[in-house]
Amino acid sequence: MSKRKKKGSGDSRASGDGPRIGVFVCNCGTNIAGFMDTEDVAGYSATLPNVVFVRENLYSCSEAGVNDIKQAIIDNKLDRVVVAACTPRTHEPTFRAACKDAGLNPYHFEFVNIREHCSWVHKEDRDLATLKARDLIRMGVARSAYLEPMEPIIGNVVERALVVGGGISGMTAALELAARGFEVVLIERQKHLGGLVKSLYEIYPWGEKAADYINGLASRVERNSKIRVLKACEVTDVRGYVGKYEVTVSSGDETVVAGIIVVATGARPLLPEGMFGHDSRRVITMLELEAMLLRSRSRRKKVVLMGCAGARIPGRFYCSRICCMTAIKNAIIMRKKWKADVTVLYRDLMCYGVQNETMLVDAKKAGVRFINYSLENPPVIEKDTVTVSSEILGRDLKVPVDLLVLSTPLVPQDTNVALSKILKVPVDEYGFFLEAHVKLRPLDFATDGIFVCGTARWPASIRECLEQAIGAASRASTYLARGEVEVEPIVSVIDEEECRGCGLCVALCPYGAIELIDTEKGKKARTIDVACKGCGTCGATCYRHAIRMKHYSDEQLGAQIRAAFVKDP
Amino acid sequence: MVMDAFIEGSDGVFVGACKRGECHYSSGNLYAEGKMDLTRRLMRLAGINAGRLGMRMMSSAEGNKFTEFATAFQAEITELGPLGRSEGISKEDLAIKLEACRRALAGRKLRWVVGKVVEFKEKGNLYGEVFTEHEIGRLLEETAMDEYRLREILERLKVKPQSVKTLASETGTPAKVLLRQMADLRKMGLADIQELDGDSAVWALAGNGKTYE
Amino acid sequence: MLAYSEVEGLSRKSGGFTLKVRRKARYVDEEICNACGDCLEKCPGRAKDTFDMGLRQRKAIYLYFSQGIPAVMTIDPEACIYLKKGKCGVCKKRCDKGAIDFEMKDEILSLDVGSVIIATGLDIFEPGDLTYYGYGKIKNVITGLQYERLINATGPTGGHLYRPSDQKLAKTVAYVQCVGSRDLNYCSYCSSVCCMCSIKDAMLAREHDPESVSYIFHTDLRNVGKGFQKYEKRAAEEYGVQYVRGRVAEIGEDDEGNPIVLYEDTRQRKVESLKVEMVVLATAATASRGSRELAKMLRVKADKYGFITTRNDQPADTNVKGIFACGFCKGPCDIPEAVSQSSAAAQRAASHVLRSVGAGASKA
Repeated sequence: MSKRKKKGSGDSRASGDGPRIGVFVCNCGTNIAGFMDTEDVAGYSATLPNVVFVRENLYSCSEAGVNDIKQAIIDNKLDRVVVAACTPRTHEPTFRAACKDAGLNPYHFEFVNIREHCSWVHKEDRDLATLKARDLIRMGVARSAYLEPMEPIIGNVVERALVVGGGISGMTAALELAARGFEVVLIERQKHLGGLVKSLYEIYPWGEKAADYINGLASRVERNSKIRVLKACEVTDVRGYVGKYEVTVSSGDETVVAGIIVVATGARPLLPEGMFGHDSRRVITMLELEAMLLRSRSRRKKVVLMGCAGARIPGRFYCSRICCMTAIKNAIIMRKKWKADVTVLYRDLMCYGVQNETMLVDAKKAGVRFINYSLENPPVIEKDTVTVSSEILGRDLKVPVDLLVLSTPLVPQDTNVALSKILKVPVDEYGFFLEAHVKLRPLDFATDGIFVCGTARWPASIRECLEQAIGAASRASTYLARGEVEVEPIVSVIDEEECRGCGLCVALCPYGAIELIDTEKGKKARTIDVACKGCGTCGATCYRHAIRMKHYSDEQLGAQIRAAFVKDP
Repeated sequence: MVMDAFIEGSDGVFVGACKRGECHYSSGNLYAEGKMDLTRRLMRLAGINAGRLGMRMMSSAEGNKFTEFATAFQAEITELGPLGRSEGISKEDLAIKLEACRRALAGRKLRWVVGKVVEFKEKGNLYGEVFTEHEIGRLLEETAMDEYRLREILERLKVKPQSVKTLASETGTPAKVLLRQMADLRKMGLADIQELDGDSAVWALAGNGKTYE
Repeated sequence: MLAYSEVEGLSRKSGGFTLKVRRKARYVDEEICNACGDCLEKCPGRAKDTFDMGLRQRKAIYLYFSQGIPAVMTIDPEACIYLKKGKCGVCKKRCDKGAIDFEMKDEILSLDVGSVIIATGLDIFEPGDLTYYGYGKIKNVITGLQYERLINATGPTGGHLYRPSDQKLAKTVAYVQCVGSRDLNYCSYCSSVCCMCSIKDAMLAREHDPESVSYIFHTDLRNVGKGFQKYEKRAAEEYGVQYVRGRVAEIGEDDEGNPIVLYEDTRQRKVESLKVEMVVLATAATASRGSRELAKMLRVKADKYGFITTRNDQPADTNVKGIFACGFCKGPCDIPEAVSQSSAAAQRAASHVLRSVGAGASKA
């Protein structure tokens, strides 16, 4: 590939006092240049209003490309930089930094995407791609003329964490944060710490008694001088933003001030009311079985464990992830302890990973019987038998039973929806908390300074809960250790003259980032800069047009739209 | 902004948004949906094909859907042809109608109502009455109709003073309704009778140049 | 950041460890090279492109993959004619920045650290031993990772499913699950990610070609992550993915190079055969090669498969104080789990280092 570099077109078009815009057209190797005539695009850019410098780069993001931009800013006294290249996701920081290095405000930079938005989608039509790139650059240049300088917003962080939920995840997160030297307030809804794990029998694969482990954890929490535990207590209101959340709790009129919040409210097993003849005696839930195992002796000899009872069905379509393993663990225990015949009815055995699959093999060796059933033909439950239509054998099997155990799925806490509204973080369609990104940011919420771990997020094994809790503590400490947060200044600005203090924006802001304050001229809305995400809901709503969005102002977007319909010669 | 695009010469506007419940800004897509719904109502009132404003929801992982939507929308708009032609609206009329839509949308009344809708749906009004989807739809429709008519009258009077009769035929609003609206405008100090032409009154914008916000 | 480097030893010292690290010679100066690609053009040396899973060749001087970090070229000493025979040096002549340095030697660095995190990831099980699947003999039987390269726009076919035997567009593809996984002769564990991976791959094929049809031969479909069940359903309903419950017994080949899949359909309880245009083997994921040696060097425990063992009550901690582990090196896991685990390991390492520093300070 040859390197085509064009000399800048000088300052012949500088028009008096107007902005001095520089346009850089990136070839991205052949990613852009292979599908359009970049030379034509660059030439056209030079004809646009206020453009005083144009250059084509092989890779604008390379060190050479970036140096080129810096030099051009200095040599040509550019005050706006437009780079036509790829997505801002990867390289906007690169180019903003280049502007800053060359003495230009980093927000005087405009990114035009002629790769993902143009060359890659119009690979078949070179002329069309070229024309579209011209359009896109014309629009970007038009907007850039209206860009305003901005400074990042810095907020302080209170060195205290609030952990909501005193189960295995919440307690672990609290201990980990305390170990880093931060103060922690731990809130538990029940009168005791421990959560769901407290009611379990043995933890696989350690063989440790769940109660021993959880009680040990609870006493470490209670003894820790950095951790304050509030029991029988709930969060009733949250105000503020990352660095300074003001949390009202139900125990009294106290307000907890915390820099960050960890949500670890856990989940609960579905109660199979009216399902499968559940009577808590002959037909019980897995949790009731754990309690039975704790009481040790039993004369039950014919046990059937039924998986996916109320899970992976229309309306509750998800797999609860841990039930197969719990069933297999308890099947082995019952084989050994009660010498019972144990049959596991399953749809798919979800024994992912090394330890789970190993346990499945162990169970088969221990004589646990596994029968597959399908959603279409669920087991028929009668007094002394369960009839399963086995897919593999192609016939009905009658299994004698004196104890039927239902693996019901973990379902979200009923309080999740209310809490999600208080915290202004989302829940998914089932009511589990929804993280910022299911793959890449599993422990963060999109809202800065709020984190999630354990079964509040999604069903998880004890090991996974621990990993997530320690991980959430890690994510939280990045804020607490730094002591301050830097936030993008893309926020809303409220004109107090125009504002009538109606509070509509306050009600609609998804981030609680606007407050009403008393002024001499009555109530006025004011943006809390650190909390504002710049979504624009308030600006689009204010009936008096008193709110403008920085960096996405009506003038900037209007200019862009107008430029879209300018005829290309 | 959407109306700006139509005014600047766009024949169609496509709004892409996240799926419900997946908005990067929590619930911004739902507000946007509400606004687009209102915009379409106004377009219908103006006699403009509301299909020219498309809104589709998809996730960032659904590039194929975006292509599908964009291609289909492009085809639909191409089929419709330039704005105004399929609607049978003249260029001058179109400019007036679009401006009326733009002003109605930017006006205080509709912005207030559409902003309140979310609150009404969730928390009820001042008296704790929660509105149903149907009631809200009716409320929006009536307010939009009122607003649009007022704006169109004002736009038309801006071009030239005219009688209720000619206004009625140009806007397609029954003269009776129109008369009531003229009275409203007069009360607001926005329009007044300029002169009498035979037996009908000629209306004009009020002299003090007051604008309706 | 030390890329292209390996740990060769570890010794304890007060308050931490000293690591011996071999920084392998790239024969290219990292400070000077900007990966412009001039050197590539005339390089006569050839080697298998390992990043493209051996589906094409690369030059002896190469960029491991585009957008890699650091973005610098490397010379493969096994393939470079100059390094082997002392003649050539075309790349050196072409590079006007003078980044090529044939005299470069491996460097041994000694690093003092407070804590170590193991995150060596995974390797893919080589399915050649499973002769009944014909991998290596039947050209159109490929592995999942090879498929990923074929369907990728930067891959050897530019993102088109041109099958290896005749470069014809493959329209029917069979996915065979649990190849090496859940197999007592090889990897008796479940690799956790292959079910979803095959479903995703099948959906990608349909996105590229609306006529594409995929069959996924599976036992249990272990889609336990967030939203996975819906994904599985969507693949069937909107992408024409067909799930067949049954283990594949054998794969044959017809005269045109089409693989014939012989399988037992456990739902129908029949042995059936199916002709497809390509087969993708969902091969097991193993601990990365060398992980056993690494474990030995660091004195951390590993299980019989080479996965690093961590404490039950502290799942990021190994048996050695100050050494932590995260991700697939501990055992199969999906991306969000790996990310959570990495945060956990960072937390534990930070706590450990802060404690050591605190202890050191109080002693002094």
